[in-house]
Amino acid sequence: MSLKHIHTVFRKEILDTVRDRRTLLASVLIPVMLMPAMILGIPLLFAGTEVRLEEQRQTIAIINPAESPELLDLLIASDSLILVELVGGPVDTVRNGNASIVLELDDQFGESLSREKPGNLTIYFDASSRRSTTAYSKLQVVLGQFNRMIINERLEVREIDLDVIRPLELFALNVATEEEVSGLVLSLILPPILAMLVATGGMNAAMDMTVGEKERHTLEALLVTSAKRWDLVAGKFLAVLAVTLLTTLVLILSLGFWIQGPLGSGFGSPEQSLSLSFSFQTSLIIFGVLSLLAVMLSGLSMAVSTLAKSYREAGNYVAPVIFLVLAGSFAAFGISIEDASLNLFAIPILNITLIVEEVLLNTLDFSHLLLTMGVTAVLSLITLYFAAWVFKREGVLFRT
Amino acid sequence: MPNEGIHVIEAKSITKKFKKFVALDSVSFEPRTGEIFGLLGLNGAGKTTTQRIVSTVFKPTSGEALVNGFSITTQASQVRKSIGFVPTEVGLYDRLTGREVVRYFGRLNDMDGRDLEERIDAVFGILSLGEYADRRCGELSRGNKQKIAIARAIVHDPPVFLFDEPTSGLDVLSARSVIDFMKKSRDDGKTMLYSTHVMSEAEEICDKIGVIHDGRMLYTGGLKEFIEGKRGLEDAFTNALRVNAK
Ligand SMILES: Nc1ncnc2c1ncn2[C@@H]1O[C@H](COP(=O)(O)OP(=O)(O)O)[C@@H](O)[C@H]1O
Ligand SMILES: [Mg+2]
Repeated sequence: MSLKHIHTVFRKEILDTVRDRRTLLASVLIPVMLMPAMILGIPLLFAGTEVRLEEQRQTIAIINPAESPELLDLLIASDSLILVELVGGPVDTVRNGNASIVLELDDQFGESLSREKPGNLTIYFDASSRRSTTAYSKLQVVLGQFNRMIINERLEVREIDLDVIRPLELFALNVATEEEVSGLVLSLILPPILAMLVATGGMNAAMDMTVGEKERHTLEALLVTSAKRWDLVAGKFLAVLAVTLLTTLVLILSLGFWIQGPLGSGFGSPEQSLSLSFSFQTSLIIFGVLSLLAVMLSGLSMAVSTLAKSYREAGNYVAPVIFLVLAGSFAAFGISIEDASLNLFAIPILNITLIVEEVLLNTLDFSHLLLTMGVTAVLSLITLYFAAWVFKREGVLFRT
Repeated sequence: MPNEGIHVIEAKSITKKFKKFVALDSVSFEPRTGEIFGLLGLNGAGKTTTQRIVSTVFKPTSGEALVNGFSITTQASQVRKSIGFVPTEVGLYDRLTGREVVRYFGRLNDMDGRDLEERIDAVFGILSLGEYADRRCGELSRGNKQKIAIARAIVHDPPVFLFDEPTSGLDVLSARSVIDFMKKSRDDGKTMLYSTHVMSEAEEICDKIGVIHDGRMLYTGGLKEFIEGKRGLEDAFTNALRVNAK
């Protein structure tokens, strides 16, 4: 092994990669900068339409309104729904969108109430329409008020205290700090994205340095220099790793930027909005963990793209790598992190995803981290040896 | 000293099989120090395979060769230090300049610092590449790319040059400067294994030749002896193939 040769190869590959600005920008840096914005922005967009629906007034048509003028007054006073005329049958009215919702009072509704019997109501709504379901929940609020009003009246007549029929008074206190809730939200959406971007970050570079040398016919000259194959592989590997780590760094920075800045607030439900946060310490630990992943994936994408004889073929070979990373990180969705047993951390990719979750939830367990590091280190070495072995096979290097 | 032998390349019964296909069948040849040895053959004859074995890119299935006294099978790294290999397909790094490419290969051949820079200037001088040295390889003409490929191969000043169809795809002027460079290198005492199917070039510069066909060596020996009684090398070559076919 010659450190000088490794260094020479590393420097050349970095120079070559950096000069390929367009590829570097288009396929690595720009996606990495924008991806977090897109992923974080989508829930925000949904939250936005939710708020707008809540603020808008949906339409309601009432059948037999005369049965209960009090209910009608209450509806008008609530100001959350607009009364419209019924056109045709109630089902068609809702389906055609002539009203978001239809409330039908039974013929005997008024009479039933005055005889202190239950008054029958039918609500027609469209569960597939956001507008209709929003109107439904607003109507339920009004009906709830109406219900309480009638109970009040009846109890008053009998001189019974309201508390008699209210045995429970519920207070729910959320003990999680805002940071912890923020951590939960991030721990659900971030790990797969991070794993994905780390996987793709160095792939272009890895292909360029391996199958690229074959396709551009530069490999043969390289193989007859005094540099050992292992040194060539090591230098190239370090260069791919550097590109991947750069990608990872930019990714973490851009996450921090989007979360601390434009996209940090407005999460959660409209009543209980939540702002996300991402501390410097968290970023540092996540960068460390993702670096492990970067080491493993750099080796792997180099090894598989060396097997290919053209860029196109290499594309076919790295696709399963991306798929594995996705599968491994999405598997984490099915696992509740509090119950994750140690042996889950022996599964590559999944373990790193779980570790990132733990970091975000501030529950990092060091035995988990150690096992993850161990497994990743071993796999990295295997992929590197594999890459070096491939680089010594004339049948692979000069396939026809 | 191993490089004081008369035969700086000695190929002894080299056989190369790709799976069942026999690409080279017991090929032997021994150019002397300071000679240009022409490896002549049609497309697919086995010229590139021979070059790749001598340059340690391929391992022979059987047989052995000594280059500068080192065995290609057991002393591959010393062999690599002794050769300057120019493969048929010129591949350069398009985003690097010619100087950067040659410097890269110089470093990988254990050169460094002032020595390396001076050597690069010298090689670029010999190949009259001066004004193109600092342009990106992607912008160079085919001829200048080939010259960079030669500079890259010989930057460490090896005693043996292995040139595989070095003029293929070049215009007349570029081909001429490559041929002239080879002549000049012979004057400097270099030994060259030069494969080609361009008979006029071979006739002009070869001292010895090997005629290779379907992986077998039909003739090795002096160029003059080979063309004696024929109208020239092309005539002698086609005749040799015709006799072989019978
Ligand atoms: N890597 C390889 N795998 C399989 N067959 C090969 C390989 N390289 C060369 N060959 C075959 O060996 C024969 C000789 O090829 P080559 O040495 O390239 O001929 P030349 O350089 O004289 O044109 C050809 O038939 C070619 O198809
Ligand atoms: Mg050839």
